[in-house]
Amino acid sequence: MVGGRDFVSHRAVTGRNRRVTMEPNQPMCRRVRENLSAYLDGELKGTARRLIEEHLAECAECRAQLDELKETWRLLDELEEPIVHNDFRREVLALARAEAQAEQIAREGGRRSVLAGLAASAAAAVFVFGLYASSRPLSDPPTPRQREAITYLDLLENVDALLCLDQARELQSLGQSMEASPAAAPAATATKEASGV
Amino acid sequence: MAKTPMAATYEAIGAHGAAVDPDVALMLALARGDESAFEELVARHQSRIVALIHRFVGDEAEAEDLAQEVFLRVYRTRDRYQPKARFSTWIYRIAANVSLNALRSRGRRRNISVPLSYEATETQEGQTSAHVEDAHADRPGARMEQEELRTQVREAIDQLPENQKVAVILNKYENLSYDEIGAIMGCSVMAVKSLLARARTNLRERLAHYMSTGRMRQSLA
Ligand SMILES: [Zn+2]
Repeated sequence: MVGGRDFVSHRAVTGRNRRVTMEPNQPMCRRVRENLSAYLDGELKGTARRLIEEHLAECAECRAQLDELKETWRLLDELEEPIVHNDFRREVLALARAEAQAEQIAREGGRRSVLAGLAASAAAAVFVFGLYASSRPLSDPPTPRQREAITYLDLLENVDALLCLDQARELQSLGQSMEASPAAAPAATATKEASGV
Repeated sequence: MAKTPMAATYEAIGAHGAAVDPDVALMLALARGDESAFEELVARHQSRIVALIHRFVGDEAEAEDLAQEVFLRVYRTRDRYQPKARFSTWIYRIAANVSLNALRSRGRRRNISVPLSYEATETQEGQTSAHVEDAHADRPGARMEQEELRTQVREAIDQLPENQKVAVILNKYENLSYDEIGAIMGCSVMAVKSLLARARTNLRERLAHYMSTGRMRQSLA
């Protein structure tokens, strides 16, 4: 939750995002507008929320800004919701089993077994493609991505550039008016997915 | 908009995790070799994960392919899984990463043909601004067909910087609190607040033409 203290002490951002058309006249308008987004999300409590509401009651310009932000957010409802393919779960389970089988075989022995494991994996992949072929239109062959997912599953595991990396870059551009938490520091980027965030 | 409160970090929820979070219990069951637990996890989350990824990539078949990849990553951690966060936080994080990776490789493929890349959006604000104004200039004033509006919304989201895009998708479509979004993205509540404020400003500018209140405001000024 965004505290009242932050709102009160929040310095006006002379950021590059600001447009002439939305340049507020009063310092109070400026502070209110910086917080309208959090206000709409119900993330402001106590004093901060009260200050916003008091200002909105007397400032038509800020009310108009609020309406625009609300309407912008409503426009995002236009995006359609996909329907999950009936065979989705079956395909995931088949892929997982194939992978487990290949791992099992690889674990059981040396190089020879690893090769056998790869063969089993390939056979399983063929089986999964069979599922695709039977469950999807013939005109819709497996995409390169599907092939990649099946063949190079393990390679893909380590190619993530975690969001925190961008966060570090993002924070640099926020200026001094923003608080940077230790969680956002680049050191946190070493966090592995496997350990649960 | 009911936002579920959640601790930003689940430090060592350990054995309690299973009691707190049924999905953690399922992951632990999977770790013990109960394959049906994985099936249940997929069943419980497939719709949300496919929908989430679809918000990023905008293509149903690709969203399903990427969602499969997400679940396989979950499956692959079964032997070394340590419940340090809510399961949903963790799987959202994987899904966001997988989605962004897909968009990045798509961006690399289209690098030459797309004049306004993500980098340009981030670093050359003047150029972005001019781009938005051009878009306004050649729009007819008539009410847009829903399909075209949908395309514009899609593009407006696509053009957001990565972090803003993640924050918007998690907040708008998954209805998550700043606290939860911060946990997923690995950033502070204040950073989430800033991301969403800037995202709203960007989206408003890109969608200004479709808003009745925008015209109302201009007539007031
Ligand atoms: Zn005002």
